[in-house]
Amino acid sequence: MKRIVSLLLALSLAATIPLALGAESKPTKRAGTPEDSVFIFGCVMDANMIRYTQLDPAFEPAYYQFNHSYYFFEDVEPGSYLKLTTFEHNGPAMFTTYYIGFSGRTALDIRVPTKPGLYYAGYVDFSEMKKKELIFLPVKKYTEVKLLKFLLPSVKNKSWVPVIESRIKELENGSK
Amino acid sequence: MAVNRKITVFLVFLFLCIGINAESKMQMPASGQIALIGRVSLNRSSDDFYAKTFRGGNAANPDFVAIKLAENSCEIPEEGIEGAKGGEFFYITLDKKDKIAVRIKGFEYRLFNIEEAYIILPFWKEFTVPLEGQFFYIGSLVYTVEGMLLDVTSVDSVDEYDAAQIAVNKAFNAEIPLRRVPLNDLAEY
Repeated sequence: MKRIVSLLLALSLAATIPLALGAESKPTKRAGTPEDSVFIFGCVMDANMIRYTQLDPAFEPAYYQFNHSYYFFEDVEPGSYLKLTTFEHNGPAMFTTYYIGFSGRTALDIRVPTKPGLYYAGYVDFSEMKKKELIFLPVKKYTEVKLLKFLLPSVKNKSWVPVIESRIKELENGSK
Repeated sequence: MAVNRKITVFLVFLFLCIGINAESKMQMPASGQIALIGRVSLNRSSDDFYAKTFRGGNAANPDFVAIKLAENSCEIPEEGIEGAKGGEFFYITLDKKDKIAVRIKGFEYRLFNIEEAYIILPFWKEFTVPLEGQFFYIGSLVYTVEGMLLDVTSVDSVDEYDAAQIAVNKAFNAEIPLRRVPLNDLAEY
């Protein structure tokens, strides 16, 4: 019970933090539109910070960081490869930073779709580290639509707003 | 005037100290310590893409390679040096303590010395520390990496003993009796 109360308190506190505070963009980061870019979003429960690095030399250099468990990256170059390179986990007993490097693999590494638009990277929870691999397990009780509604007010590139709203409608109609 | 002279003498002394320290070479291993000498290079295309794409990357920074020791090995002392610039000879001092062997898992190769831009280079070798000698040459390794995630595809071991001898003499500013050591396979874990 105590745990649930403290979890609720932590969640309510987290909800008061504007999402935009967690976003960090590289000065050279590309500016895009829904017609030529991909909007990647997802959530890693209990993440304090996640950083993806674009590792395919055939595409523009870039990294994407979010200091929150929810994340969204606007204007990602289609076809590029994002590898989770740093992950800060706010565990029950301690706070751990994982530098994953080139040799470590995770299921969260993304080959960005070549088709522009929204890309849902999933809602996952960190499980354990096995040798060089970080294991993340899907969390089923949260949905894409809930996450999109939560993220919508913090989106900076407003040209994504109608795309997200349309996806929310589509998901809500689909679930009825 | 006398005070001024004292200050001048003190300042000259201070500059001399700084000068001597700046010129000082690698510290000789103490008794109960040994030094590993070797070289690790990475064979890869040399562009600065990774310096640009990683956070905090700077193409002017050289690569850095750090040794990764296995369990039950002689250890790097606190505040000890764990490696060297990529492609240069390293001089790693280890405490023997109650250990009889040096066990090496591999190396962590950091591109442009970026903490998260590292590649694990496997080695998995060990040697029993000989009773005689303090300076041991473990070889010069060239790792070839390929693909977007720089997977290790091969490793070549080159015997550069003579070059290592010259380098270690220069680094420690002394005639160093450098020894080769036979390396045995270490079980991976």
